[in-house]
Amino acid sequence: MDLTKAIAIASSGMQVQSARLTVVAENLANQETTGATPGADPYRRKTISFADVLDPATGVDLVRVKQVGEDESAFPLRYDPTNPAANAAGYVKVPNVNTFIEMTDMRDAEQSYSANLQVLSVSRSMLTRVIGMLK
Amino acid sequence: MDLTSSGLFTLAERRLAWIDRAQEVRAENIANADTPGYQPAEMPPFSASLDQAAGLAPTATSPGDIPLPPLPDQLPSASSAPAVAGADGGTLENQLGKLADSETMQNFVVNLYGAYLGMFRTALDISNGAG
Repeated sequence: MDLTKAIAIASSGMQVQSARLTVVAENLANQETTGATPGADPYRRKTISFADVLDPATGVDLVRVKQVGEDESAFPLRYDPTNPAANAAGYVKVPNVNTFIEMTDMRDAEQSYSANLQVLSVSRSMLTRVIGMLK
Repeated sequence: MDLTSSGLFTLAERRLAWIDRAQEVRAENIANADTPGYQPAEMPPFSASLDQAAGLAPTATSPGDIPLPPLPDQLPSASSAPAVAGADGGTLENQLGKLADSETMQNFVVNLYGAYLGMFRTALDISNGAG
């Protein structure tokens, strides 16, 4: 039945948005994680991308996490001579995490998640109504 | 009398099947809203399915009945141009709006179906009582 398929699709959508939130949480938690030795690289920001996949069992387009990659942009430098990761000139490489980008991404994920949740609850109430026809 | 041959039941059945499928298409579009390169799909309008439905032309039951003009071959639709995939149905809000729309329509059809079934039930009860 198509309504149950709709519920399966919506749940796959919610799963990938949760995965996206996990990546945002990792990035935000590690935004101050620097290296341990002089000149070492700090935490590198993670990125996530999605792809639509055909589910052979039901024949519908679900969504899956395509890959969790790394942001290859350069690390900003901060002057902090007392840090163990400071280089000879006293500069420390800090993670390439931008709080504003992460917050925007978080809001976007939340919006998509709630849209999928809406699909799920609407499909569920429609299904219940159809079952109610039997009464 | 075979209930399944009744035009209204066939129509309600087709409408529900269409809404069912539309729900699936919209769920796909919303789930893949953040997938790069994904083209949202669009359902063909219901009038296409309606054309194939059993005829609902009224029948004269007594000589005094005034005949109605025949039903038009095709019901006029709001937009004559077919919806192009991804042209305007892409945004999340748009899809959610359509989702709410189809829920309302489904509610309506289910209620209509129930009311029609109730009419049959009433008729059967009366005949049982008389017999």
